[in-house]
Amino acid sequence: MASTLEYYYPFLLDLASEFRSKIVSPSAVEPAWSTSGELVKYIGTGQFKLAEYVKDQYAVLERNDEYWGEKPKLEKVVWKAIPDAHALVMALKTGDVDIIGAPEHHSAVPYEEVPKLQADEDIEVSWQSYGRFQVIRFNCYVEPLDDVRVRKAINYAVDRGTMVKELFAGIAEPANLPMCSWFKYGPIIEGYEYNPEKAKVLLEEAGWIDSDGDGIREKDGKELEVELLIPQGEANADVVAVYLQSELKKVGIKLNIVSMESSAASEKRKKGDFMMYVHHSGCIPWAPQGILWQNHYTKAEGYYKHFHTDELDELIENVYTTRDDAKRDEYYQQVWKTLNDEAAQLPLYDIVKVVAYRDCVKGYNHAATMYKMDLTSVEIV
Amino acid sequence: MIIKRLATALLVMFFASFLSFSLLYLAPGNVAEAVLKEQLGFEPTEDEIVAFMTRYKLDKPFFIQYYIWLRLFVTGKLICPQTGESVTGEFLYRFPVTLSLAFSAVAFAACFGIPLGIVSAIRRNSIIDSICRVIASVGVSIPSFWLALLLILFFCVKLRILPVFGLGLKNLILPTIALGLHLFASITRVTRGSMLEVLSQHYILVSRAKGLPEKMVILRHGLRNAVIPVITLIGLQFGHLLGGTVIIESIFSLPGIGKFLMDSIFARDYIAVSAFVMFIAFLFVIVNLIVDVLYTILDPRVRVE
Repeated sequence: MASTLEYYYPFLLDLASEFRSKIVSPSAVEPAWSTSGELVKYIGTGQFKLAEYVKDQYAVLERNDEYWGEKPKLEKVVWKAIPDAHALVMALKTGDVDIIGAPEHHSAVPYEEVPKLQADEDIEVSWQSYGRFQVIRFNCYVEPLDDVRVRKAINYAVDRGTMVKELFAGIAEPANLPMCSWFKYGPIIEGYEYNPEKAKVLLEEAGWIDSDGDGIREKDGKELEVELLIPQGEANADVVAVYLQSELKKVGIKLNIVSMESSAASEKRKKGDFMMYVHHSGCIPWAPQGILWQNHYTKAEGYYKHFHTDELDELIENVYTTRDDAKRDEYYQQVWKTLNDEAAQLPLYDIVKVVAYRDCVKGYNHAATMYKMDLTSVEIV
Repeated sequence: MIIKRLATALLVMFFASFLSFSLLYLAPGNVAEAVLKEQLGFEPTEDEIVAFMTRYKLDKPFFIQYYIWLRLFVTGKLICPQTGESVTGEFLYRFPVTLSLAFSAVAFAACFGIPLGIVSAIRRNSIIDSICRVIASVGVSIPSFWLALLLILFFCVKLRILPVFGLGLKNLILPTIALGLHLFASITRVTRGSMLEVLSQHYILVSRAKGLPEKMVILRHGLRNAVIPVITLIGLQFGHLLGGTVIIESIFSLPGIGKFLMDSIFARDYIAVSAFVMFIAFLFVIVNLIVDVLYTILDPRVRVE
């Protein structure tokens, strides 16, 4: 894409994205300076040096005393590999580890464990919002979701506030916009409020009436049925799906939950063989532009069953190529308005990163992005 | 005779690996996407997927891929797409962990199960017998992952006498119990049943009539015959044991082949999975061989054949 544009504004943002580009020392590859060479050495420039690495077990990091910036207080960090979430929590409780949840980008500590950890005197829990929402994407080209009224009705029918309070003990925040509003260029529009009456009115307008009194609406002999595809392992998706099922039933929509192994689910989504899919709205700095591109720009050839129009494509292209900051913001706002008016997605809640640590750990600060771990001011007392 | 067995074994190994290769190849999902998503923490772009597939020759037609796999596997140069390292290396790195876990589970199950079964049989219908039978029933019904978490909660969190994870002798205690409990329960029941049958045989009556001490009757004449079905049981359950290590290795953070195999399947890494299936099939051949040898030692009737 970059080669066909003259100006590409997110260039620096892409470089800053953890997963998009990593800077590798030319002498770390064999043959040196070759971009298709093989990585033979680990040469980094960070606050810690890799002293020891035992695959799948642990890594030992030592403070890099030649670091150019603020040196960390810690001399040594032992990073242990614990694949199971419950074992992770128990390791913290026994004191076998001092801090959990920091390296992963989210959901290493399950939300339901948080109240129990908070009750423990020796443990502190802290969380940080990074503006990454759990969002359900609609396949806007399949019945009944091809009707914008149905998509809007679904957005009105879900009580996100109660969901967050009941399911996540109020840790996460409800979200009703396609992208986080405190991002630069984030949407400054009103999202969908909880209004089940309005949802019912919209469905009636669209021709879906409950004629046989079974609680589910019909039209032309077909039931108003939608299917939610969940890739297994997606954080909290199972409990959220059940909640959605009951909320949608109240307005007369039948929701079927299909939980599939993540590779299989991913394949279905790429083929367009889905109706609703559990996804997310991206992390800074790759959001909002990267997510927009991947999900709604037709030529990105990623997810062609998400919402696409020529106008949206043009807006996205303008976003990427405008030099004027104010104009770029205008284009973004038009994109958000379009996505919101067309109800191309169902935003759910803000996925916060939960980190828990023993009270001997002082000075932990959440890093600037979800993918990073900031141990600069941490010390053990 | 040995040659025939080896040849059959080789055939089985290759067939099993070809089957797993094809099944995983045909399964929905793409290894490049799964592995890259895991590494990046984000969905990869089409270019990245294509680059990955070209690098590991995953874009070639099916039979060409299998031929390449075969050639690389036999020469020991097969690279695992998940980690970028040699498949044989990955297996040898993790195999000792799983082997020690499986071995100690069998040892635990046998050392506790056989004596319990014997006592149960000797003191038939007594209180001890009832207790042993209850233990056996409970042992078979408890799911291993639930038991594992319970053990950690009790011994590590509440009592603080054992470590939660890592590698070391102390670390093997809880995983052994969690993994070996089923086998222990089965061995207890089988030993009891087998002993009861053996002890009712005429030659036991004869050896008692000869004036032999009871201990010798039970152990030398009774147990030696009764233990044969137990050996069969262990050989058969070996597969379950290997499967059970997947969960136990995950919970206790033991870097073994079980967990790696599971991860490979989720990542649709048919290259690594087929290679591991070959190695594991080979393991089964060895185990079966050991079981057969044990038969000939224990049962003279088999030797004549």
